[in-house]
Amino acid sequence: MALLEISGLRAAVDGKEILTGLDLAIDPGEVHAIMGPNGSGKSTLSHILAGRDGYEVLSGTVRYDGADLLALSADERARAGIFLAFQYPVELPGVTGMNFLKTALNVARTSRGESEMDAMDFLKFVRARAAKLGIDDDMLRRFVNVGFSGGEKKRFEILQMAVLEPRLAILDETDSGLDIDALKVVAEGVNAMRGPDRGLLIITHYQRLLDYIVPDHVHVLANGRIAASGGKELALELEEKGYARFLEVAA
Amino acid sequence: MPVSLKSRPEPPDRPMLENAMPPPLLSDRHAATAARLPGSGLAWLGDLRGQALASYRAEGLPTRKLEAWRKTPLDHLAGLDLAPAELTAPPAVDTLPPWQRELVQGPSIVFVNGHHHPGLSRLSGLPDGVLIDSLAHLLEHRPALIEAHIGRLATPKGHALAALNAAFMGDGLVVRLPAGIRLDQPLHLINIAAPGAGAIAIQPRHLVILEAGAAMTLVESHTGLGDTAYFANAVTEISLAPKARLRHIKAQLETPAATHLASVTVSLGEDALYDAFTLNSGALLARQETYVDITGRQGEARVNGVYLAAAGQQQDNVTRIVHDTTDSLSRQNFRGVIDAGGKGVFQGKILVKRHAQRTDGHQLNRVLLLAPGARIDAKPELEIYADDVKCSHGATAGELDEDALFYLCARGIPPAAARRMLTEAFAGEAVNEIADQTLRQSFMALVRSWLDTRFGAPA
Repeated sequence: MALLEISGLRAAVDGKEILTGLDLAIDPGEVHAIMGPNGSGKSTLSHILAGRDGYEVLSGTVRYDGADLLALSADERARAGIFLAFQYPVELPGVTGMNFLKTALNVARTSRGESEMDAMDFLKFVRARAAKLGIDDDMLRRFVNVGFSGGEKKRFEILQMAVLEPRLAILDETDSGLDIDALKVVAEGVNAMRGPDRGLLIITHYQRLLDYIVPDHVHVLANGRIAASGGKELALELEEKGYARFLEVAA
Repeated sequence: MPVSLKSRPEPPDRPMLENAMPPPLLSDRHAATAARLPGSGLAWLGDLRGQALASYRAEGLPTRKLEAWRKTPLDHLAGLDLAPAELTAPPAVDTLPPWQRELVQGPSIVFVNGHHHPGLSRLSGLPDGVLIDSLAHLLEHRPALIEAHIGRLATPKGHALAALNAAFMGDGLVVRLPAGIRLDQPLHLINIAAPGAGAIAIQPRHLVILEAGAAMTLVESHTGLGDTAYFANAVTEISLAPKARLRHIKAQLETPAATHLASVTVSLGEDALYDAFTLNSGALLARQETYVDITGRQGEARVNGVYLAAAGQQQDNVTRIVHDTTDSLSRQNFRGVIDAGGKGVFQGKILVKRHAQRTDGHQLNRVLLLAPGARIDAKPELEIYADDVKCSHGATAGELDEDALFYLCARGIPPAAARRMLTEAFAGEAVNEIADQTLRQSFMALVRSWLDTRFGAPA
């Protein structure tokens, strides 16, 4: 059974149809990349999957692990194992990174019927994952994303993913605003999460990230639907030739 | 001497129509009480109380016609049939409410209905020369010391409530620290209101005098027992000599039947520090007035607070920081959290006199409105006469950030817990102004218990 199965999804924002019949299936263990020009519906797709308000689903279905994903609220989806790495991570003044991670982890654990992690175990658990992403205790004591550089924000997103260990991770333009060194750190963090039970959906405008996180499947999103699918070589072709031919076909 | 309407002094500008009005709240109870007030045999004190009473009678209880009271009605007090709390016969209160007992470790002095309760107070192990006592006791034994300080900072003229307090004052906390003495542990001033069957007025007068280089932390807590109405009208006078440092941290958790009015007047000497934080979450109506006169060069005033207003509650903060010398600094950081049907008022003023060059003053009042029907009236004011100053103020009011809420929900945190977490973080940014970590945690715990009531337990 597919981990995620989107069928004929049409969705609108403020009465304007953005997704126009999107089909996509991700099996456990697979890494999919969705590439597309600005305005093709990439962010709409990621927000609808994460359960953000303000999007109207006109028709179609989204099944996650066989169940109706759209019937769940954002927090229920997250607890069911869906993770969205934000394109623009949000500042949380007054909430320390450590407190944020601990709250999120313990909510997930208690919802699975597990006990909360005790403070010392949690500290070890987080530090081990943070170190791999170049995040020190000082950064964990700061308020979430407040005064973080672009690279720090994206690394902190990946740390959240590493702590929450989702079954389906959606990375929304995670490469935007990163220099090459930060991109490598982030990519290593993502690659470390690859596994037979986990699905990854990487949403990106540029092919660059896919040099470091090599996808099993690449899809072109144009005018709100998948205009083409292929292997990793499709990403290289897009880099070379651009999106023009897909936009023409779709139009 | 019996008080009648005829003996009431009439200000010349008062319209004839108002002559028929009843005497202002409590003024007709003075005659019967005066003889039993501590220090009633002292002529100077009799004069002070008498002048204060006359001043209060002339001005009356503040009404909404006054600019400073435009948003703060006191009309409900008239319907309470208030009696002055008897200072000679304290009610039997033999245990402290647990939150007050646990708020802070250190010496404590307890006042029940404004009357010193030695049995509950713990004042051992203080350094030599430190004076911590009750006003009532000192009026009996060291009246000259009190005479030299009382009423010097909180003057009755133009402050009807200070006048009312002065007319009835008889007990309260007196602290005097000799030069260079530092108290290692905070002193906890515990206030408990225990009205019996009838509504009472509690009017403590506190004096804090820190001589040169002395330093201490004063923690003040307020609560009440039962559901009978009461009216607390506290006046605190604080005198800080050069290089003295006072941290003044207050938790007001009065009962929902309480009206809690408190004014603190501070005189700040050279290089002295007054660092205040007030948490107001109790009472039907609470009003915290803080007046700081920075008269010494490089004096520093920090006046911060958190106010939490649930349905039916009103929380007021009034500040007035006067920079009356060069190179002084003031900081104000207030955060309000207001629920549907709750109300907040913030009137903050920074006054920089003409000669107060190189003043550095900043004021911030930020309010979170939790639901429709929450109300805040904010009036930040800068009045600057010097030309070389750095002064600013800011005031915001708004709801929780939807993007932040979604971010938390996208990490699995249920919406109610997410709202709670962001509200706690919001208030916490002002609680963080408390310098002492242990106290900071105690006060954060008080904020959390308020949040428990509003939002349920945290995630």
